[in-house]
Amino acid sequence: MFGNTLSDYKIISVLGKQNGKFCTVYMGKCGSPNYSIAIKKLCLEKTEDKELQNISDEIILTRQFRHPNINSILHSFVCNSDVYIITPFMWFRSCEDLLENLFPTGFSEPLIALILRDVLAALIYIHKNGIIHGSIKAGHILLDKKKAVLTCFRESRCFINHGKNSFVIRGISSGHKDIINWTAPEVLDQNLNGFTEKCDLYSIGIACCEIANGIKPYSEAQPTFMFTEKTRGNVPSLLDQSTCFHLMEEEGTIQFGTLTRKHEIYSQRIFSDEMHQFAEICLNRNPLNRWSAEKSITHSFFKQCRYTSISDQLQYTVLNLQDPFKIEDGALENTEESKNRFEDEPWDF
Amino acid sequence: MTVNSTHAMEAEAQFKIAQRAGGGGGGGQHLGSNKSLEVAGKEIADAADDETTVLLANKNFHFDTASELDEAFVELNGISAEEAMAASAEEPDNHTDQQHNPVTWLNDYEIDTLDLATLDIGNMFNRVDSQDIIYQQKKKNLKMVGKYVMGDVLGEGSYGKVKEAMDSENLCRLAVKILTKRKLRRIPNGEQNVTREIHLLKQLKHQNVVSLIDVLYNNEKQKMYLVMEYCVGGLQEMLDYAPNKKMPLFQAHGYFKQLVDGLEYLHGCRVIHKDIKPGNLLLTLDQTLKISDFGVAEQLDLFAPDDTCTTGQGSPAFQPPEIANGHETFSGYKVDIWSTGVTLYNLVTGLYPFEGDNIFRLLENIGRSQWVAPDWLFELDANFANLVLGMLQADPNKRLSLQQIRKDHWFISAPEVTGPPIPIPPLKGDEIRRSTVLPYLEAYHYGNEQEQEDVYFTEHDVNQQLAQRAAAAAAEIRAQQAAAAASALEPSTSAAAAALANGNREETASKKKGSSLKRRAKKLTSCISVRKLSHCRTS
Repeated sequence: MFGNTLSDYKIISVLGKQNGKFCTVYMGKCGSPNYSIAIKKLCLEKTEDKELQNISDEIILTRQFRHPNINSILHSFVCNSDVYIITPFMWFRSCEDLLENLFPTGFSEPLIALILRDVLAALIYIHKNGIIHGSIKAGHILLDKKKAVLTCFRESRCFINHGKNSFVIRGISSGHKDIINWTAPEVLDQNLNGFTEKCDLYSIGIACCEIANGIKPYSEAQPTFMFTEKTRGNVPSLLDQSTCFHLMEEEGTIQFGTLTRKHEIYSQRIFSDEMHQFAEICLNRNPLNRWSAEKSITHSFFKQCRYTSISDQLQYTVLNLQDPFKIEDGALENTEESKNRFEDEPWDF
Repeated sequence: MTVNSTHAMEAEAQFKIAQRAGGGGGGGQHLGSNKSLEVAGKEIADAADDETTVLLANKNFHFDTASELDEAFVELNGISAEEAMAASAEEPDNHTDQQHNPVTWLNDYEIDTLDLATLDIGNMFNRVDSQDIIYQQKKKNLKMVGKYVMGDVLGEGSYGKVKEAMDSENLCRLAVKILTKRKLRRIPNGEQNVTREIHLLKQLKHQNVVSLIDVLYNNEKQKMYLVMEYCVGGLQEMLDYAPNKKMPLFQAHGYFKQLVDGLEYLHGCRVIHKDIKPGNLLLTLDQTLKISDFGVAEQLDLFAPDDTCTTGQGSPAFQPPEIANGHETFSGYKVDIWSTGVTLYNLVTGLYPFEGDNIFRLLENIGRSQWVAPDWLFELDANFANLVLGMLQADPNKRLSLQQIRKDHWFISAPEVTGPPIPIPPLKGDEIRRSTVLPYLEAYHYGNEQEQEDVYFTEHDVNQQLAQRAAAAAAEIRAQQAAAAASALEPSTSAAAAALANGNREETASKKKGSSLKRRAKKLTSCISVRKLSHCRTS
């Protein structure tokens, strides 16, 4: 079904670039049923050996997974000096993109629940297989019309060490600047206690705050400060009526246009107690007190998923994005529109 | 361990003075020197430097030493050199004046300077009352080198200190080897070795070879920083901590396999390590073995016809017969095989194949005859004994090659797991080896929240504490010994004495790092003992 040369695929548009110039993502089509795909192109010549190893490890690992909530790799091949990775096309791309373009103050609670439920389902699957994802964040959660999928297993860790299965993983953190803000404190500690699959649950907690607030966690803090904060058990919070007033009092005089507007939205909305509780459990400093992925998915926070779906929640966006091929051009206009819309209409949960 | 980190550090500093002074005075024989000390008032000068640990309440100490040194002191004190000289000249040994005497602040490197000066003078030696050496609790001031945040000292070698560090951008734990030019000059071939080590490490990239991440220079301070990946401990450290100084067969097997992997890579890169020993094999958090210390390693020329070497400067106990016998040339790769064999034997049995009262005897024994594996070794595991025997062949041509080792029965076997592996010993009481950088970061980010009063204490206090601990440990050991003697049929007296000494050392070592004083003092006087030769290096 998938060919080994670039000519087998029809490239339609550029979706974005990662890691500077060396990684480009295209939207494309292939095959007779006109299957929409995303094509990731990585330039081999400009990547380091270590990175290359990571890429091939990631591809091998991801191709072993069979789960609806894990972004499958349909095919990968080397053409000229580039690696091409073919994955299914995800209609709404990553949560990070959505937040940036359409939801500057974060998603609504039902949507968050839907996304996290799917991510947890994927986590249950990979944890059962003895794998830790290691870098869960909004940027690594892709959204389709029907489901959310987990992607990017580059930082994944395995419980098998020197040919033996162990209960904890020890080691130096891989130290990717892009992900340390989501990393659990016990991973950053890098001591002989090691860490377990519970570190993914912590990352979910951070990602939950990220997609709820529309703010990247610790984006303005020094990494060392982020580290000490996490060690002390201080974590970001979900910004709503109950927490936002404290924040405004603390910060005092923030009178910039956009910031105040954002704060107004934050201080008017209410997240359910279940959601606050869920985030709190995930963000527990002690991994033993965190729930496992299996238990987390039974949390009452996910009850609200029953009568809704991602496409319901995103129907505005869906209407605006009838034609997926215009994402690139339409993105900016939509941002303006959506901002206005949020101001006019009160949030309905 | 019960003693906190500062104590340990102080104890080291304290020892340094004793040692250096002893060296300067010609082996500490001049203790009876008539220059006694006046007790000085413990006036507290403001110490800006975070490294300040030792106060010498004795300005007379280097009363007539080299002038540059005195100037350095006085700068710290804020008085001119002349004044200090005059003051001390006027009233030597005057106890009545004690309140007015200023306190001299010393940094670590200044203590070393003291040493140099003392060496110059040769015969001079001052007696310092233990009450006069005052220590100050270290302040946790954040220190950055480049983008690296420095932590506590992990160890100290002849070249300088190794400190823990953390990359402030990606929060990776690291180890930083700090080399001072001054110390390097004191070591034969020091600077040359370091340049070679850096050059080598830059090319080497293997899972079982310690990797160099960054090299920084500070010309002002004449320091060089080698940033390396963090290793949580060394095999020697683990052996020292373990009972009987050995590890179970299956654990040694795991490390040996990794060692062979690493060695194979090194030899593939034409690198001969020449100093393979447990002390140079480190472990990462996930139990990956890393070959480190390429100070005496040699890289063969790209066009060299074979692996012929002419120099060997490794540790005596791990030297093969061809080096012990002083051959002009010898096969380089086989040197590493021999030391690997000694290392393996040492890991499993806690013994060395060859011993000797002093280095000459030792080398003589190594060079004299083919090693014979003891019978009990065959009883332990015949395959293992054969492998060690194959690696310890006196004739390099008969000695196994790495390829042969790979095919060896014991190598490809999976020894039965017998009980728990021996652990990585706790560092200053911390069993899980937390990052020592974190307290510095906390102090930096949360500032004065829990700022404490400066804590001062004298060497006298430290000594008393040490004595108490040692007494407690000794009592414990005695109790254990009594119990052991009661249960087991009496072992030979010498063995019992050795066990006692060993146990004692372990106990104290585990209790406090402060006993490094005792340990090192021992090393100083008994460089003859083979045990300790592994730490020494022939020049």
